[in-house]
Amino acid sequence: MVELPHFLIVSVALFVLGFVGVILRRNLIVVLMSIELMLNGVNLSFVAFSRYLGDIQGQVAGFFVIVLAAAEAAVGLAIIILIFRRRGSVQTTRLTDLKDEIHAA
Amino acid sequence: MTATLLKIFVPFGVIMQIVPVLIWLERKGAAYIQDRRGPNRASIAGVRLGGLIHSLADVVKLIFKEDIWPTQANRLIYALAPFIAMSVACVTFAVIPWAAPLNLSSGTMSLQALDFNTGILFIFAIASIGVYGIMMAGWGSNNKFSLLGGLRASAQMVSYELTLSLSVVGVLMLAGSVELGSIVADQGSEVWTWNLVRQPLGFILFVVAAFAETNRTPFDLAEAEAELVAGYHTEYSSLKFALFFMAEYVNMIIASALMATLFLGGWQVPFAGTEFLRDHASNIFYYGLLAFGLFSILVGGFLALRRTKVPWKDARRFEGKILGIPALVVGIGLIFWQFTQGPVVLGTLGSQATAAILQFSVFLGKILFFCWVFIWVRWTLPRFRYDQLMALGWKVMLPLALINLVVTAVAVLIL
Amino acid sequence: MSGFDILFFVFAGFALVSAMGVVVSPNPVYSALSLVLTLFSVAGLFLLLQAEFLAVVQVLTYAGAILVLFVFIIMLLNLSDFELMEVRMGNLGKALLTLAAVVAFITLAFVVHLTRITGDPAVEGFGDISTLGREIFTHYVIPFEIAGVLLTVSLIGAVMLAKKNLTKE
Repeated sequence: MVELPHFLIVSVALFVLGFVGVILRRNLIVVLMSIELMLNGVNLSFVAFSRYLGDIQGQVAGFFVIVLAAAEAAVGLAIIILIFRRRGSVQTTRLTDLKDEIHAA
Repeated sequence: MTATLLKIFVPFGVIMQIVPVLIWLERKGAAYIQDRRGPNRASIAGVRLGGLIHSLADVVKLIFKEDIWPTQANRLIYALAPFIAMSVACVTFAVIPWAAPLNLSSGTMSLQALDFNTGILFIFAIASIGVYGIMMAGWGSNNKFSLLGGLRASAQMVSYELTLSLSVVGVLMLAGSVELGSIVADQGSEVWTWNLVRQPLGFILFVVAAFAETNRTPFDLAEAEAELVAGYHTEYSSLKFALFFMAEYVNMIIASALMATLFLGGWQVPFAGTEFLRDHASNIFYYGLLAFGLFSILVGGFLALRRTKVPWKDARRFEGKILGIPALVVGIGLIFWQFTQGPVVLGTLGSQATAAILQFSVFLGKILFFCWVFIWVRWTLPRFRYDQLMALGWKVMLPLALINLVVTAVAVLIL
Repeated sequence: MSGFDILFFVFAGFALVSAMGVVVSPNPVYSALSLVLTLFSVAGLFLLLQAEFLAVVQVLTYAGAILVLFVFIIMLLNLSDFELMEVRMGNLGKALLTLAAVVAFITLAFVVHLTRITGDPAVEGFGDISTLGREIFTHYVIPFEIAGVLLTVSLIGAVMLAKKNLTKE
């Protein structure tokens, strides 16, 4: 009874939840984790398509997404450490140096 | 169904029984390495079993100790951590094969709980989760020593996991499979075709990385008592501490089982293939029981006739008699029975079972040998400094593992 | 309901609940641990989809390495309570965002519903390690090599970024 659409809906839900996290949260680390959530949603749909279309390419794509996630997490976390060292904070609300002061008020 | 349950619970039960024996071995080994006698006091009705009863006393002590909850701890994470450490340690046994597959009328039955076709990767995947137990313990206890222990453990385990996985790739290329069953079968029963001979560098790298992964000395920086009190389990007491303690030993047994499986031919009996064992099962059974009978006569006789230095009116005075006389009786009975009976002719199933039990025992012997190596190293080598640990992992072991990988790949390609 | 369906709903339920936990829990450590649970459930879904190798890789690299890195950073920065209590959005912003998310979800789900996909479902033993390995090392060799270079570059980049500049101090 469970078919491709079920998996796709779970994948969409994961993606949207990750998206909400990216927009809603102010902590850089949690933002990065929400991005991982979005990547996982996409990955799930790749694998689901791969299974139901009988094509291995979907899994290959999923494999590369995981590789990319590893690279992204390493660099992202290094940047977060740098920001923390400079500012003593990982809140996105404190990183508004480029904001236009006149309009921001 | 019954077969599956048996395959799950028999190895699990055996492993759980090895844990107290290992704790005893650790204490006795440490004692003799440091030139002292070690535990020898706890007794039940005078029976001390060379200090083995201390493990039992320990269990009782740990159960009845006060369960302390630090007031500032994060209760959920603090409580969850030991369970994660223990359950992750136990799950990995599922894919380790214990003996050659049986040929039943309904087809072959592999003697491992889970015949998963990604075998070794499954073990690495589950083992990589084990670090969460330590990290959660470190963070949840809200204690700076625990936190430092958790931090050290996480960095160490992620770093050494690379070497651990890379050092095995050579073995996987030789076997052409990631299933542990095929890796063992590929090594054959001759000692010189075992991966220890074919992959010596891989073996050394794997052993060192396994020491780091199990947080044993010389890499036990996560609990370095001289610097961090007790590291990640500083705040734990009672059964929660016992779970961490057991998890450490279970991890040791898994690491030993992996070393035996990947590099020492797993369940392969040296110089005796499965076919040979099955053909000669009746003789093996007969002479095996005879040897066992002789052995228990010797041990029983020695224990029963030994003079004790224990004073009068002490129950321990009769320890030798209590253990020795039954062993003597069993030994004499066995030999008598064997002589009157003659060799039993075992059926197909019986001979296969005999071969399987023999292979299982040999495998257990290999596991216990590596467990002893763990203990031996712990009481011989000093602890690394943290930067030395990282330098060793990234600058020495990882390049060596890569070299090993390339050389093996070229060799496999040419040969 | 077959066993497959039950497992699907269990894994999907866990994945969604724990994903919710990642987004709403105030403490980053809880977020990270919820994310580990999500990754596990997604790995379970991968197993149901016969992607055994990918399921194992998901647990091995994602849960076992990447998330360990996250938790490590959270513990290393050792954020103060003030830092942990992050500045939140106003209620109006939250409501709007939730509304937008629901609309996006419904739209996407509707698209999924409308899509008719035809193809032959995979056979048994389809996502095992040899099939996937053959595909990666024949058709996808160049992307694979590029991925390797990318990983090396990101490794060097991360080290250079996070390294303390010792000569300056």
